[in-house]
Amino acid sequence: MAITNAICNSFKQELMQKLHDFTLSTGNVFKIAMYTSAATLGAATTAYSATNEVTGTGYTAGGNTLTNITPTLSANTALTDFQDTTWPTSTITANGALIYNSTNGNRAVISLAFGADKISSAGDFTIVFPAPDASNAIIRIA
Amino acid sequence: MDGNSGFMEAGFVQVATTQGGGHSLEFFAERIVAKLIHVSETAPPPIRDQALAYQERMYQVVLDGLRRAVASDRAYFLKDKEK
Repeated sequence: MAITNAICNSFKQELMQKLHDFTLSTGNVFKIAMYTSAATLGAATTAYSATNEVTGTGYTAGGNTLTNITPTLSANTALTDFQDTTWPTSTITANGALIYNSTNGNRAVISLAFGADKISSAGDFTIVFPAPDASNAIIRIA
Repeated sequence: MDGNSGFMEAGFVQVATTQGGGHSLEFFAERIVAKLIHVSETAPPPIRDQALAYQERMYQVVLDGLRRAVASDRAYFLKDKEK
């Protein structure tokens, strides 16, 4: 059982089948679900599953809806980003997360490893996305 | 990396949690500024220094705005409760 930081292989194929649209407002709806350390997530993940998903005060199965940032180009690198997301007043223990396309069959996009259990207790649990540049953005294609 | 060298990479998120309360105003100010301006580590030093100074100024302006907003909201909330 492990969660690795990886772009899902199925997502790479689905991009070429125009099954994902990250455009702000008019694009698909992407969600982020969080998982316990008992979950297995990584490049081979193909879709959202509730198995080993986090439970706790302030968390609803399926996770939070993300706010897309329309993809941009930085020199030779295309990148996309999301607004940070928070579970307020929550009591949660999570080891990783999965971003998935809830518009198109809950198809998996990227699995995110936190590196350790992260815990909120009657407080905020916030996922902070990396700088939207060619070296750090959450999804980069060059 | 030239235009013909294809790759797709995943970035790394960070997690910020709190116990018994929410994030500080400084946390939100930092996150807002990080979304508004990013200073490249490889930028020429004079440009980088200027950008960092601007970033710090933005941080102070945003933090001040957040403090005023919270104070205003609390004043409104208290007045509303007195009714």
